[in-house]
Amino acid sequence: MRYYREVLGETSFFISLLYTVYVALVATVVSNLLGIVGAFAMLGLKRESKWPKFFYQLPLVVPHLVVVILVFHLFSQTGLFSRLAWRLRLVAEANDFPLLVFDPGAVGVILVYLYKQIPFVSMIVFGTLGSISKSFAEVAYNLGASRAMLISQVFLPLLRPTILSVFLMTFTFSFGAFEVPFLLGSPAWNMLPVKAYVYYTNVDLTYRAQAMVVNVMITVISIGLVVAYSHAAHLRQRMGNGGDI
Amino acid sequence: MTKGGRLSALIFYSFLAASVAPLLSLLVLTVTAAWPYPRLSPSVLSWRYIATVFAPNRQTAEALGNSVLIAVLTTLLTLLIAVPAAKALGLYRFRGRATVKLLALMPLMVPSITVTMGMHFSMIRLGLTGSILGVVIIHTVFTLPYAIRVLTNVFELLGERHEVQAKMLGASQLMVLRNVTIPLIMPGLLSAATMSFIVSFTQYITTFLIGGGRILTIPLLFVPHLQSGEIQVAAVYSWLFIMTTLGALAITQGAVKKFYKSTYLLQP
Amino acid sequence: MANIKLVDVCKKFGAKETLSNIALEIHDGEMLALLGPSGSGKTTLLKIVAGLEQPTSGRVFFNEVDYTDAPAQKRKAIIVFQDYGLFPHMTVGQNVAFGLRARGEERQQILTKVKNILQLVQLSGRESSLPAELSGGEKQRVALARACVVEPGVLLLDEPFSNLDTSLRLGMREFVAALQKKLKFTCVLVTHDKEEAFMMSERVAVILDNRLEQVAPPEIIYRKPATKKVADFMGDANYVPGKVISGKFVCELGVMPVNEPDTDAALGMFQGDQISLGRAGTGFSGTVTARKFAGKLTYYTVAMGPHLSFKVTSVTSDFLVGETVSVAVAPSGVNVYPLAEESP
Repeated sequence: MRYYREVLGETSFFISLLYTVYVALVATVVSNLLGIVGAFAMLGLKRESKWPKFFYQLPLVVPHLVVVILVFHLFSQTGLFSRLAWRLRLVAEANDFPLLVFDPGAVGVILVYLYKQIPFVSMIVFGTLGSISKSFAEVAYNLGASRAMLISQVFLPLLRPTILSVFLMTFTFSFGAFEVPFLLGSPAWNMLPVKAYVYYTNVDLTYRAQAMVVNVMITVISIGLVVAYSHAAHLRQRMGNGGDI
Repeated sequence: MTKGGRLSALIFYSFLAASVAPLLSLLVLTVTAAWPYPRLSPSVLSWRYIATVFAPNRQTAEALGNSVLIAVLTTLLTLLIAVPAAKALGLYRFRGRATVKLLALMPLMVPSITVTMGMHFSMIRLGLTGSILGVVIIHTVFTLPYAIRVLTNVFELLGERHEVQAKMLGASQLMVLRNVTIPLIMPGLLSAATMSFIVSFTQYITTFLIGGGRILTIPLLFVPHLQSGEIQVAAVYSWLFIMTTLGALAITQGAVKKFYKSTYLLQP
Repeated sequence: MANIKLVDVCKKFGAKETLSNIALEIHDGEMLALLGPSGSGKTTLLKIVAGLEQPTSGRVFFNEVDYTDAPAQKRKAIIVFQDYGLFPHMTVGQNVAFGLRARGEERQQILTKVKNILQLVQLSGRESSLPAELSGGEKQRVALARACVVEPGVLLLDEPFSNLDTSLRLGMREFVAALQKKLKFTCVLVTHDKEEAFMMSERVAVILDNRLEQVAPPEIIYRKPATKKVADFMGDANYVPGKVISGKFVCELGVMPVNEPDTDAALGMFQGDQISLGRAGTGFSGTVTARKFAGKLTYYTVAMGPHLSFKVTSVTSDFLVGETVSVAVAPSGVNVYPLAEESP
């Protein structure tokens, strides 16, 4: 218990916790919003062919480690966007370009999650949308609904359980992933998994107990999310069966 | 409708470009020797970094071999456990089924670093650290939940009726498994297998901790370059990563297509 | 209320033709059945009328106004889908109100209309139930209420009774017929069930192989099928080759007056229930080779010769297999078609 008091007593733990929640929340909210927009865009495509969809899903098989390089290559102060900014006379030298990787705002980390998660969210939402869309769209149009009414009154409510479970899945991942903040995060600001690792690999082995405390905290939060997730999945199943379509 | 269609296409294709363009620029990076700021394109192109990565002293071959071996073993172990487990979860009602289903999901949700640190102690006690087997086991912990989830859904949808029908027609256990169950769950099996392969192939911190630095895989070769900012070498490894993954995907897809064609002529 | 005119409507999906040159007029306030086997293109025709599919060519008129290019929202045609298409996340009340809300009606007015229509379909008090909590018949009535409440010019029913139990089906047919009389809408009923089409509609349009074969009142369709295809679809048809000579059909069973031009190659069609069997003796005779007792009716197969056998439907079950019987055809019961190459 001594270690718990020690770890939980530190303000750095809570700062780290809040920081982790901030990163995970921003990444999840943005990726879910854009992912849903992407799903609707896919639905609106006329006779979408196989290959564009295949390439859209490509980030799903690109490992996070590779995405880390992509983000570094594009967004670092000497990255492609910085060069583009120079070309457009927005910056005079590399150092003028805002710090987007290793930054306290964790923009780099968040960008990695966006790259991976937007197509993921799109594919899952599109899956559900594909199974409900045609018949319900016909019913709604037939009853005189506009496209806006179809989306807001029919599609989004029917998608709610799916979106909820995708949201939780992406949030838990962003919350607990280690490699990305380890490689792209700010050296001064540790997300919880990195904090645990730092304790764990400390030469002073007594820090391992602290690492375990952090781990237990992460686990408790994650379990809460798993329970919420299974609840969402349950909800989805019930709606699916109740649909009779 | 056409206006909506055009807007949809605009959004979709810009998303598509955002997915693909960075990977292409990474491809350029693999053959870049010099790319000084603020040029938008490399000033000197060369095969040097590709040659470096595949040079005999770079251990790339060993790491690739290990990575593939571990990924294949992990996939096999995962399926070996997941199929019976998913069948039990999907078909039979027993007490505590909901809890077991939830528990099976856990490693997917609890961060890998946490699980790995937790298992590190037991692995040391069992003498599994630093061995291929140990790494395979820790990878399987993370591939299992996905496999079980997918296959449980498949079994729930299929139900037992096909197997019961086959048994009534006099098929032996083995024949039921070979000719009925496996063909029916093949799509789920494929999805679980590719996912397992990819997850195992891209593990870094788990391999690092459990392998204790003795088991060299591609991610382990790759991260130091990333940290030291040798971005060209990292780019080459990245493409090695992507190509192997896509290759594995293509092989499994192809194998399954051939399997269905030769065995059943028609897709189920 | 509305009358609908379809002019040369064609629909192709890729190279596959689903509807070929459909010309059909649906009168104001009538109940018309579109009858045909599944896959004949009936549902596609319904969707074209509703504006959910565009015809490849041809025009669609509502009250003499060309609506071919008008979006579904602008048409006064509402489909009741085969699977009802109730929104699973909305209550009965919300489902019924959907069309009214889409039309931007006032809240108070919506509430009143929903209340009235639910009373009419005998679902008062179920406003806040979810579709999943309803029985098949109740879902059907919600779907009908949702369509009727917007006072459609045309109600399009797509196989509305096929998901119901036999016992419920009869009740629902009467219910829909009564509703149509009361609200006086034009109604198109798509069905593959002949009996249903005959019982419910004033006119039947038979669609076979993507073509409109015949439009007529039920009894004409049944007794005077316009083509051999329609006769085959009605079932119960027996064919005898013969000739038409000065207004008379001449075949091995005798000579019957018909209203057809002369031809050397004709095919006479006799319906199974227009043939009567009797004790052997008078007229033609045949041998019973099969007998299926089905309660009210009995189905016989009677061999008339080496190449000719009749399927006969009879109310009597007196004749047994092997028995020789006399066979008489009603002179008025013959329909004559041109003898095609492939037939018997």
